[in-house]
This record gives sequence, C-alpha cells and structure tokens, in this order.
Amino acid sequence: MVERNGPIEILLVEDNPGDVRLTREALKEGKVYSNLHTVKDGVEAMEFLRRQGRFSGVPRPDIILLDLNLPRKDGREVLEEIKSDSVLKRIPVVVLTTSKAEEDVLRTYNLHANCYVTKPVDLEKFMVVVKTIDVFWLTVVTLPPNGHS
Amino acid sequence: MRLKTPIEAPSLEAALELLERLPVPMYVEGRDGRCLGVNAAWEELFGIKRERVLGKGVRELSPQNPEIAEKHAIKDRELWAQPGSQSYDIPVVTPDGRRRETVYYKSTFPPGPEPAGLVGAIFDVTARKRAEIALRESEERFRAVVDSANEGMLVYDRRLLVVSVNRAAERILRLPAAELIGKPGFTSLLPCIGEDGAPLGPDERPTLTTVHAGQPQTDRVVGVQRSDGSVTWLSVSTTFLRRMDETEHYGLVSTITDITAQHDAETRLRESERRFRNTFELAGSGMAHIGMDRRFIRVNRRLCEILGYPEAELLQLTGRQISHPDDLDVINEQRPRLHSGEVDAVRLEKRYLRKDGSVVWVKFSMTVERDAEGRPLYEIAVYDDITAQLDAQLRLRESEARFRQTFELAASGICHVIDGRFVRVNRSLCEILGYSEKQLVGKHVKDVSHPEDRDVTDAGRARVRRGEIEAARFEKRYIRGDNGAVVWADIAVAVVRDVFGVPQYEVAVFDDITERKHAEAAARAAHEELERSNAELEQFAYVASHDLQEPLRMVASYTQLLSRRYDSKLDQDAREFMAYIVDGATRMKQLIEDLLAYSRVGTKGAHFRPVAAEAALRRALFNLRAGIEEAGAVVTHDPLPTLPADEVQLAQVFQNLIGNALKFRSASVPRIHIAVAEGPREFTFEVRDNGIGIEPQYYERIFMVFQRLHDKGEYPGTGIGLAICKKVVERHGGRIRVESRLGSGSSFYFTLPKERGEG
Repeated sequence: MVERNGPIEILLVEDNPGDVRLTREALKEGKVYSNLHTVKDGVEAMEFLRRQGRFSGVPRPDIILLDLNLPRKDGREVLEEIKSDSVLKRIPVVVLTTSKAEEDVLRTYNLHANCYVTKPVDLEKFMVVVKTIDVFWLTVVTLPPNGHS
Repeated sequence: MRLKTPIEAPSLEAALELLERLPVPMYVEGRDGRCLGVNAAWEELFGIKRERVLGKGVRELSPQNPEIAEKHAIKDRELWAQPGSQSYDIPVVTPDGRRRETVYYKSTFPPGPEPAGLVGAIFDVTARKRAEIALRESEERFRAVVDSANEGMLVYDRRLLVVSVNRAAERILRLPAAELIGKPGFTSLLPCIGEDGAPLGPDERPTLTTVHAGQPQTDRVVGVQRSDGSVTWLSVSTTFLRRMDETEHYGLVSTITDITAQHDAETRLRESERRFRNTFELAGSGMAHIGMDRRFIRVNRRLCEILGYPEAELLQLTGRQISHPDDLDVINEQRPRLHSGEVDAVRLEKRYLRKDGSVVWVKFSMTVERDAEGRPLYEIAVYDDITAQLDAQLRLRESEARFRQTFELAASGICHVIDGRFVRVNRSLCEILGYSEKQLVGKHVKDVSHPEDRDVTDAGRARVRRGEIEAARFEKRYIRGDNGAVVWADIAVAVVRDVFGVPQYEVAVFDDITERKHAEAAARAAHEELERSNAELEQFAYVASHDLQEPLRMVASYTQLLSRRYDSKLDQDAREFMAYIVDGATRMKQLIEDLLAYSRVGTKGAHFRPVAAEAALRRALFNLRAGIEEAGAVVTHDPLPTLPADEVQLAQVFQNLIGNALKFRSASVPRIHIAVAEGPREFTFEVRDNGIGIEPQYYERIFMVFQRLHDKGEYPGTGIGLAICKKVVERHGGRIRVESRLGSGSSFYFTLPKERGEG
C-alpha cells in the first residue's frame, strides 16, 4: 500500500482541444488535486506511457482518460497495447465515448477497459463525471495492494 | 271205314256195288281169308283185274312180297281174334314196281263177336309220309343250326311262356334251359335294366312290349345285372310265330345277342362324343365344322352369339355370305394351301357382318380334318371376337395420339432418356436446347450439359431409379447447340417402370428458367447492393452520431461554462438564449442517439435463440423500476412462453411499451398487464394499460419514426420507442398493432412466431 499525498497524475488522450480544456476546467472546478498531462493521439500516448523520446522524464500516470477517436493510432489500439503490457495493464483506463452506441461496439471487442464514460452534453453532468474520476481513483488506491509502486 | 247200316248177308253184291263207286281202294274178305271182292279203285291201285283176285288168299296175292303178306295175315288173325276195327301202316308195291306208303283200315262185319268177313280200305299216305320225313329232317337241321348259332333263341308259346331255348341262350343268359322252360322269359329270372340303367319293370319285358306293339321289335337293349356288379348287355329282337296264312300268332321267338363289348365301346364313344359336344358348345370361342361345300355343318352357341345368327339360320349359310364386303375372300385365298397340306392351319383376322348389320372383328383360325387317306373331310374353324380388343387398341392409339399431341405441344421440354441418351424429345425441348430433334435423339444428355453441371443430376436420378424417391428436381445449366449460350433449366426426372417395376426409361420435364435465373441474379445483386448501402448508411449514421455530437457537445458545454462563469455579467435575455442553445443541443444529441439505436435494430441484433419471455420482461421491469415506483404502477403478467428471439431486443420491446404505458398514464393508478395467447404458429402478446388512450386515426402513425402525438412539454421523448418496437417485432417475423379507447386505455398487441424464422 502506497500512501499517496501528491496530485493524481492523469494522462488525457484527446485530440479535441475543446474537450481538453473542458476536462481541465472540470478538474479545476471539481478541485481534484491532479496533474493533467495531455497527448493528441495514440502514438504519443504510447510514447508517454513508455517514457520514450520527449516523454522520457514524465511520471507514470495513475489513471488514463482515453478518447476513442484519435488520429494515427485510435483508442482501441491504445487500449489493446496497454492491456497486453504486463506493467501498463495495471493502470486504470477510463474510456471516454461520445455515444452509448460507441460503448456497445467497444464492449464487443472485449478490451477490458476499467470504465466507460459517455461524454455528456450537459456540463453539470460532465463535472460529475470528472468528479467521479477522483472517486474512482480513490477507490482504486484504497484497493488491496497490486504490487505496483 | 265203318258201315253205318248193317249189310244183309245176301246183299254182298249190293255192298260191293256201293264200294265200287268210292274213290278209295277197298276190298272185302271172307272169314276164311279169301277175297270176296274189290272195287275199281283197288284194281287201279294194284293194276290187277278183280277176276284174278277173287277167291284167293293174301299170300297168293303177294307172292313177291312175302313179308307184306305175312304182316297182313298176322293183322287179320288179330282182327278175327278181336273183332272190330284196326289200322296199320304198310307199304304197297304197285304194278310198275313203285312202293307206296299206305294205311290199311279194316273192320269186321257184321258187328258183333261172330264176324262173317271184313272190309278193308287202303289210304295212300305216301305224300304225307314223305312230308313228314322232310319236316323231321328240316326240323333236325333247323335245331342243329339253332343250337350251333351264336345268337340265343327263346321260343315262347301263346301264353308267353318259354317252350324252347337254344344253347347260345343258355350260355348268354348263364341259365340252363330247364330253368327257363315254362317261365315268362329270362327277364323274370334275372335282374334286368334298361339302356338308361333303370330296372326293367314287368311291363317292359321284350315279349310283352312286342305283343302290345303288335309288331316285331328289333335290337332292344336290355342289361342283365350280374352278381359281381357287371352288366351283360343284350340286344333282343322279338318276332311273332305264325302259321302260314294265319293272322293269329301261336308264339314268339326272341333272339338275344351279347353286345356288352360293343355297348361299352358305344358308351365310351357316346361319352367322348358328349364331352366333345360340351367342349364344343361351352367353348369360349366360336367353333364350327365346315363342309367341303363351305356350308356350316355344325356351329356352337358362342359362334351364333358372335355372328348374331340363330343356329338354324347359320347352318344354311356359308361364311362368305356373312363376310364383310372387304374381307370376302380372305379365307378362300388360303384354302388351297390348307387343303393341300402345305400349311397346317390358317390364321387371320377378318370382319363379318352380323345379322343386325353390325361389324364384328374376328380372329379366325382353321384347320382341316382328313380321312385315313388324307383326303379333307371337313374344316374345323375357331372364331374369337376381337372387336372389343381392337376397340381397346384403337382407344390406345387415340390415347397415344393424344399423348403425342400433348408431348409435342407442351410448353415444357419433355424427353425420354435411356442409358443417359435422349430417345424421344419434343419440340419445346429442341427449342430450349437449340438443337433439332434429329440432332438431339441419340445424343448423351451430358454432351449438351454445361461442363460444370454435367454430373449434378447423377445422385438424384440414381435414387429415383432405385425407387427411393418418386421424382427428383434439379436446376442445371445446358449449352445451346445453335449459339453456345448457357441455358438454365428446371428439370423434374421420373422413371417409367414396367408392370414388374423394372425401370424402362426416364422422363424428364425441362423448363427454361434462364430468365428467372437472370432475374434472381439481378435480385441478388440488388440485395447485396442494398445490404452494402445499408451498411454504409449504418456506418454513416455511426460516424454522424459521433462526429455530429462532438461539435454539439462543444456548443452545449461551453454555453453552460459561459453561463456558470459569467452569469452575473449576463442579462436575462442572454441567459434565456443560452438556455435554448443548451436545450437544442441536448435534444439533438438525443435524436441522434435514438436514430442510431433505431438503425442498429436490423443490423446489430443478436441471433435468435430460445428465450424465456419472462426473463426479457424482468429485464425490462428492472430497467423501468424507478419509473414504476414513481408512478405507483401495478404491473401483472400471464405465465409467458419460451420462444426463439433476440432477448435484448425483446426486453427492449417490453421496456418501450411498458415505459409508454407509464408515461401516458391517466389520473388513476396505472395498471399494466402483459397477457399472451397461443395460436397454431405464433404467440400474441398484449401489453394493456388503463392510460389516456389513443385516437384511432393515430394507430398507424404512432409506429413511425419521430412521430409524436403530444408536445414535448407534456410528455418528453423523441418518438422513437414504438418505431423501434415495430422494427424489432418485424425483424422477428411478427406484427404489432394497437387497440385503444381514448380515456380508458390502450392494448398493444404484437405477435412472435413459435418457430425460428429468418434472423
């Protein structure tokens, strides 16, 4: 068990700057103590997670917020790579979907995302969602030890 | 001779005078034996004058015949010793030396013990004697003949009692003469039967029947039953015994012949004859004996029936007279060869004209009966009426013609196939395959088949041949003979068998389905195109839902962020406008979501598997639990069946319908009941509520996409729910409809097939 006092390291994989900004605003409004790292596509996301290139000094994220529709390498591929990596697969992944239908499709791929969240149109709801991430994180960290430092 | 009046002694002369005139030789003798006188007849008999004999004794008168004289002397002494009359036979020798048989009658006179003399009369009996001898000899000869005869003879007297029997009769009757003599014939001694086998009554004795008939009877057949059971058959002829010139008979004579052997042979012959008669008469065929003059000698009943003439009339006719004009001499043409022995029999078919004028077809056969020398005696002919048979043949030919016509005119191609080769083809087949009949017949079916389809019918046809199936059907390609084009044919193949079930040939019916095949291919292409287009549409809807929602979300989110952060800096109008922006974006997102859900019913549904409808209902109720609780609704249901379905979609239908019932509830407590009725092929579900109801004019419209009856303020929703229900039910092969009364509730009925349909 690692007692964590620092901010939650969040990796947001999202190509839409509007969403990035919205997420940032929501975290801010929700007073979630976090560091938000953003990358614009799946390739960058994997480099970030493997601390390659310009991401050599980045922290390992505590949670990944993953949009599905990404340039170069889309969210499904990213999720697949994460879940087939013995180290990375321990990082909780919240898949952000635009529609319920998209979520259904994803489930059929059986990719073992930890959570699916449909991005709501209603800002209030989005705030709730982001807040949930905090709750979710706390839940994860209070889980029995998983061997990850 | 006796003298009636006594003669006076002195009247000797007078007595002699009397004798003189008598024609009988007479003489008178004295007591002393001397001749006292003779008459003229005496003189004539002996050729001696009376003067020479008077006074002389008998010995003196017959010196040449001392034994005659001696006999007279002895007879005289007897008479003198016992006076009266005497007669005796004694010969007389006449002067010419001829010997005559005579009878001497002598009487003494006068009557009394003291005769004075005697008178003698000499009767010449030579003729009678001779007749007697002749008769005796004749009788002896006759007897010898009779006795040696093979025929038995019985002689009856007037009373019809047997007086004489010959040896043959004893032998034939096996009775000694002694037993027969004095009896009324053999029929009284032996059990006898008539020719018919019936016992012979006393009245039927040949003797009696002859007497009754008053004329001779010949060859009457009488059987004598023997103790061993055998019968001796006798032929009895009986005739009257009459003396010459007499009309009255004094007896009868029967001759009997043993005809047993002959009778038995006759019986057998008669039997055989009877059998022949029966056969002849009862034969199923007409039969006739025809004389060499061509006339019918004998005809049987059947022939009379066939030719329609009574027997008597037929016997007056010749076959030619009643022949059909066109067949007059067909038999005559054959006769010489038959009579000459060149052929044994003549067989032909010809027509006769019956008495009623109708025509009868006859199968005729004739042979000839010959005598020992081989000369034809008569003809034997057999006639069989084949009119009906010919009619049947005619009908068969007609049927054949009709078949031919049907075969030829059929729009379908028809062929008969033996060993894989066409043996008979119709015009349509030639047209379908692009060959002439001449080219096609004899060709192997596989040679006109499309190379890839050559063997597709083999297995099916083998099964038909083995009788496992009645007929087989194929779709197969052929290559036309004229232009090489591909022809699609629908073929039905069956096998024609003989009465023993042995396959004779295959019958195949071809229908050109090339056009249909092309249409099918076009339809398939169109269908594939449609599917592709649907999939593209699906993809488009998906992409659209995602990509359209992104900007929508941006609009909504940032509008809200604006109002959050800068609310105090905005006036009332700005706040209201931003509220509309958010509301519009939210509804648009919902519309897009629903549209996507609707489009996904057909393409993203799961396969059908047995689903407990109750489980689907439970899932729906679970999803609706908040709404149910909020409305205080009472939801009940019948026991629900298990049926093939997509469980998620079925739950969706329940959820949408119950959700509607909750949404469109009236003021009273919502009561929702799910009922089910089982039909032969489908279940009908009913979701019944006591809600506000629907007006009939909207029954159709409510199932259409985005059709709403109420404004959003009153009842929220996009109007997609019933459209999805309809799409799901139809995808399952069912139907959905509504019945309702405004203000008192609605019933939504939907059917689902019991058997799994197309997904």
